[in-house]
Amino acid sequence: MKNSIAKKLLKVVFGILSLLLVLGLLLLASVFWLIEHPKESYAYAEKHFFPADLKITWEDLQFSGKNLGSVNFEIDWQMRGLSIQKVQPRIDLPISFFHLKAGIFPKSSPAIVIHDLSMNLDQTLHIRLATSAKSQEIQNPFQTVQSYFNYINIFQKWLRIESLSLELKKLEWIRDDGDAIGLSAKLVQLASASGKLPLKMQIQTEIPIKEASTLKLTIDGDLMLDQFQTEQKFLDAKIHVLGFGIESTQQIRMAHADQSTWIQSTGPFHYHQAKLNLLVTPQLKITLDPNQASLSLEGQVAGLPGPVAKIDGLKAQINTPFEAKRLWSEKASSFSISAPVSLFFVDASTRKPLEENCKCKIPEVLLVEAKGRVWLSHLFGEIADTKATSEKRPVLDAEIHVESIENKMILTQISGSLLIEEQNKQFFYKPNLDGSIEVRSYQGFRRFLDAKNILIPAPFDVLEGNVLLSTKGSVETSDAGYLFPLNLKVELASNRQKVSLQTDAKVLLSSDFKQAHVDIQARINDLQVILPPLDPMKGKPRISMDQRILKAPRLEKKQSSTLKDKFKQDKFKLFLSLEVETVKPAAIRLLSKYFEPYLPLTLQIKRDSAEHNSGFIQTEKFQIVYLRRKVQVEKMKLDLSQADRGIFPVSARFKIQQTQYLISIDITGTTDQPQIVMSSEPYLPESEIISVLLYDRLGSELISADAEAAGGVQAAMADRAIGLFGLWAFAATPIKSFSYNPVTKVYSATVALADDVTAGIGTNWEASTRLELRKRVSRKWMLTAAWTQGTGETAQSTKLVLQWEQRF
Amino acid sequence: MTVRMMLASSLSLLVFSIFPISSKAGEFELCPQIHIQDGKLKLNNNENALVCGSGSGTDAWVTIPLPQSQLHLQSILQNLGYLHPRFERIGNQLRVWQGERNTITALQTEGADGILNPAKKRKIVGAPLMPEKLNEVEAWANLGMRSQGYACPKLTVEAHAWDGSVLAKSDMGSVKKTSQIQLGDLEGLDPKMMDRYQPFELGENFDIRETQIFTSRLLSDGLFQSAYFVVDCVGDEARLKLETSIGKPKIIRFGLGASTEQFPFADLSLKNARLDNQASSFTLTLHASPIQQSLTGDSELYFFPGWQRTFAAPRFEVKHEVEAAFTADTFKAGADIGRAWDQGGVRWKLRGGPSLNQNKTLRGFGPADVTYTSLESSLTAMSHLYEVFTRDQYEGWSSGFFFRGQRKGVGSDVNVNRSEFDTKYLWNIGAYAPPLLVLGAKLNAIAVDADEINAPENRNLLPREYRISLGGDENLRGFARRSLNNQELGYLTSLYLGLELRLVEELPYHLQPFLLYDSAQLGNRRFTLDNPYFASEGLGLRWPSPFGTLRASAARGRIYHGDTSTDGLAEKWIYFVSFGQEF
Repeated sequence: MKNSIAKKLLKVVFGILSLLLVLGLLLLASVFWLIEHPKESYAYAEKHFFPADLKITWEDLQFSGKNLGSVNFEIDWQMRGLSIQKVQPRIDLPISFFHLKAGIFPKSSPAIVIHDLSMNLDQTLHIRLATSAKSQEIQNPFQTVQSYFNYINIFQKWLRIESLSLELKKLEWIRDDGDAIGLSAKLVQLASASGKLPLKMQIQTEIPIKEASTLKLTIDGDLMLDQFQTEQKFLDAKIHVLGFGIESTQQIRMAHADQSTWIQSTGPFHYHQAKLNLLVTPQLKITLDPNQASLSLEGQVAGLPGPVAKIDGLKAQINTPFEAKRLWSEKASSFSISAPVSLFFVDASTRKPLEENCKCKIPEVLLVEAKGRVWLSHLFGEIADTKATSEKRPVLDAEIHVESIENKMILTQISGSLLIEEQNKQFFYKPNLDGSIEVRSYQGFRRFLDAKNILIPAPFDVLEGNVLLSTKGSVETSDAGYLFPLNLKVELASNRQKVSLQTDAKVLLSSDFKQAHVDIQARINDLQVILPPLDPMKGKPRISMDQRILKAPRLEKKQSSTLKDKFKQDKFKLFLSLEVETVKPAAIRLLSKYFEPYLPLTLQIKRDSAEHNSGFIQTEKFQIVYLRRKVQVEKMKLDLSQADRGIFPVSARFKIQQTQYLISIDITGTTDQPQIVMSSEPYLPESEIISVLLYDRLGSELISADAEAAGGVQAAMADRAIGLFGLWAFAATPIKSFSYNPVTKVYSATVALADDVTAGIGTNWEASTRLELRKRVSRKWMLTAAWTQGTGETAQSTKLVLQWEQRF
Repeated sequence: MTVRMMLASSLSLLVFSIFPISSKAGEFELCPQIHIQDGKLKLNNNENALVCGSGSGTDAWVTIPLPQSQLHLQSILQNLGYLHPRFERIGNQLRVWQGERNTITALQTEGADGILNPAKKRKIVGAPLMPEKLNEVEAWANLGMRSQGYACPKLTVEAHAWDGSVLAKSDMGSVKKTSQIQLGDLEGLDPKMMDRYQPFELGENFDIRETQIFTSRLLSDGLFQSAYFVVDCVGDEARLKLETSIGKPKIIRFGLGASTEQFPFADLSLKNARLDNQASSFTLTLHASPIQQSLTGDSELYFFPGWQRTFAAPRFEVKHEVEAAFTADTFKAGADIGRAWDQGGVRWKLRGGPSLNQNKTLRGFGPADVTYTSLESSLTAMSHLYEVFTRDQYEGWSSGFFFRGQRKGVGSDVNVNRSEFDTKYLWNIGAYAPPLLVLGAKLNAIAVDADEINAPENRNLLPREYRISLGGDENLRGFARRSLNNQELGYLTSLYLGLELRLVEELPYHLQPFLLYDSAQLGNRRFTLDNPYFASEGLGLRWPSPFGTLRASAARGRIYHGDTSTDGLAEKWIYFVSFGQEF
């Protein structure tokens, strides 16, 4: 029984062995047949096994193999004119030369030794890969990297390359969006029996980013697979990036050992866009291990806009936990950023005197710190479970703190927080601001600005006091954007001046951060300032720039506008609406020796973001005292409702008591075209009013020269050569002579400073006309130059006469 | 403190006050904190207050922040033609480099082809590029357009700092015709009386210079205290509105003064400028000076119905003269008929009438006591261009013909006629604005026709006002005033031609140098020019002061073919300084 079973078993074993032998022989015969008849073999395979749209052709193929003993073989495979084409996905690989010489050692490790692999692709390759719809197993970044590294492990276990030469002239990878990514590569490994020489890589690629903009990427480095799984770097490459305003050469090093991978990157990063010229010199290190990724960044940032200018010693740290089979963990990543911001707006030459001046220490750097948590799974929209989508999930919870400055000049306290939540791939921002900048010594601050040639003009330069700019509270978010408050409180004073105002602003920042609407409401509690000590008799100050003198062609401005417009489209837009009002009548008081007691102003100005204006500026009652005359200004109101069209309706009333006449000057119309109505009590016609106004006498009582002067004033008024200011000046000024040239519309006047002193205002001799030929010497006496045309018997002559005149 | 220390500190104070340490050589201290590095800058008081501060007080404006000073200086320098100043601030000091002064390299016009010719505008190209010059261009362009029919042009002037050009862009609109003159309140005066002042006809192209002539005539008559036009453009019409102010009719004036003829003098006058609704006038003048005392009455009476331009002019004069050559009493009374009108851009005035004369010569040549009647008439013409530029004497012409005659038997012992033609022409050579060279030519011809007095022994019968004498700054400037007087007998015929070439606006202070040449021939008989030929050449200087023209000339007299009549006359340099006298 036992024997029969053993025999049966032996038969079965023998049968199996025989079958295996036959199969082995068949396999061996097939291999040899394949080697000896490659074209026939391929034709058979193409017909029965390959996809229908795959077509592989070659011009020449040489294949040889030899047995190296036992089951070890060596093959030598060379092809020319190889072409691999596939319709879907589109592949077009013309390979001009291919050579593979390898030994196969099934019992050894590595099992395959490639003595030489050369491939030359000197024509453009086209590849179009469709997006794979195939679902893949979800992995976290560490697992993803690890899976790639597993390939390397397998590769190292089974394969050794002793010599490699791969040259790709150009690969054109057509993306789904139609844009093509160009790539050329050269991989060379010099012949080495040990295979320990690094693999030299030269890869160049051009990636289209936007219209007419391409990012050029060049990788030049060594891949040292023999150092894989050691503490030493297995990749050392320089990556040069150029385009889209970026120019950077980064030295990338990568090592992997014991379930831990680190990547280091150093090198300058230059970003240039419009006026921004940013230079970052980072030192980046990323460490991946099964449980978390850590990113640490140190470096400098230069070329930042505004007073920040430079960050020296930037430090940032991000730690992200990993969970198996999840791209991003549900747990939050933590981050912290520390940026000491250099304050460059005080240079070395001004720092010391300023510090002495304000008796304070002006900081050189301000430490800006940010820390918080970020939920990457929520940020990148990974849905953990259906329940989570029905409620808001946190994405970012950050706190920002700016180092406080406190000295005798300034106190700053700036901090804020930002909470970003996500729901159904929509993000909700909840910022919170708490900041204040208090200028404790306005004078110190003024000197500080003055050292930077930033103007705080007179008369505000002598004030002292506090200015407080603050913002506090949560930022309201809506579809329109983010709304936050900004408050300014000014309390300044000097011996005779005072500035007290409160400004509340609401800033609405659009969701895309491309525009802001600022709604300012300013209330002037008390504003008393001294006007410049000008004297109308002491010459016209030439402090207004003549707009007729152009420094650059207007045409060129238009031509360049297209470029500028393009730039403007990307520029941040600010829309300002303003409401300014005095909290009480005459809250603004302008002090001058010509105003008694002062010029009181009340105003209410509103300007919306569409630049529509409304409101008014008006004076309260006051007196103009100039030389020997007093003018009572009953009211003067300027309507600003049409200011955007350059139209300023005006209404004003002046009253002047001249001996026995009370003269009223009513002004209506607009500032450009004022309508002036003069009336008097008792009644006088307008020409007589001007006579009384100028000379305190009726026209009939004037000597002819004075009458002509009065007429000249009337003519100039009719021609609107005298504007509102001129009329005010004349109403307030004892005029002794007046000259008006209707052709040039230039007037000049002589006014009496005192009983015996006169001075000319307006223009010089050339611009004056014949009226200048008369000079008043006193109330009744006039120096006259009379010119008489000669006749045949009497020669032309000029008489210089001191003349007295009376009309009756 | 020791004496030595006090001496040392005093000495150092003195040294520092003499050599201020704050200013380096070549710097100009505008104020202690601002220094001009390349030249000087003069600020007026108000500018000084805004740039340097008021310097006194305890509050605002005592000092000015340097950035503000810099801002103001930038504007001030722009007004002076320095368009690219440079500033450097060192601590509390501001250093200023004015830089090169920008000059105007070209003047161009746009939209006024054929009306404005920039090549004719002087004193712009090469001048500093500053607002004052742009104003000048504006005034020139305005005058150019408004005097050629474009009553309401729109003009913008701009300067291009990058190439120094100045562009005057005009939208002239259409040529406007003066369609109407609306008169203001004339206080009872007949509006038609305004016709005699009006230099243009309705329907003619608008010319602002003629509106100026209009108002100048109104004012010089004394009837109006002020007069000006308001121009309103409607379609192709320029509508004028005359705003006037009429004073009280009677004017009494008293004056003390000096003239080219007399120094000093006193005048007392009474004028009634509104005798009726036609604005007829009457003037009585009492004049007293060391060489002349007179009482004159003159009038213009517009009482011819329908003839508003025609007037009757009764007049009288009582005069006592004390001249170097004679002393005489004169009485004259007469009545003229006159008419003034404008035609072809010329102001015409015709006047004439009989006079009763009485002359008493108390000393010197002349009839001892003679009473006669005479007929006096004149026709004068003056181009409007001359009238506009009367003060400047730039261009235009004026002419006149004057006649005086008396007849034997009609209150006179002799038949005698005196005819005089006088003309002056001014050329603006090259028609530049302002002129570069003005050439003036003056012609004067006088003929006295009297048979009986051809013989010298009868010459004493001839009244003095008929006798011709030349010399002086009115004609032959190389001879003393009225020194060519035929041994004080006076000539009966004369022909004078004078030339003057004047350079305008090339010297500072508006000084105008000129070259002169005068020539004349005289005759002792009627219609005859005798052999001696008088000439004078020289140079002079004219200054148009605000009170009148001041002229100085130096000319050498020449006598060619002299005879006994020129005995006692010397060829020498004669110097004149005159006030009010024009060529």
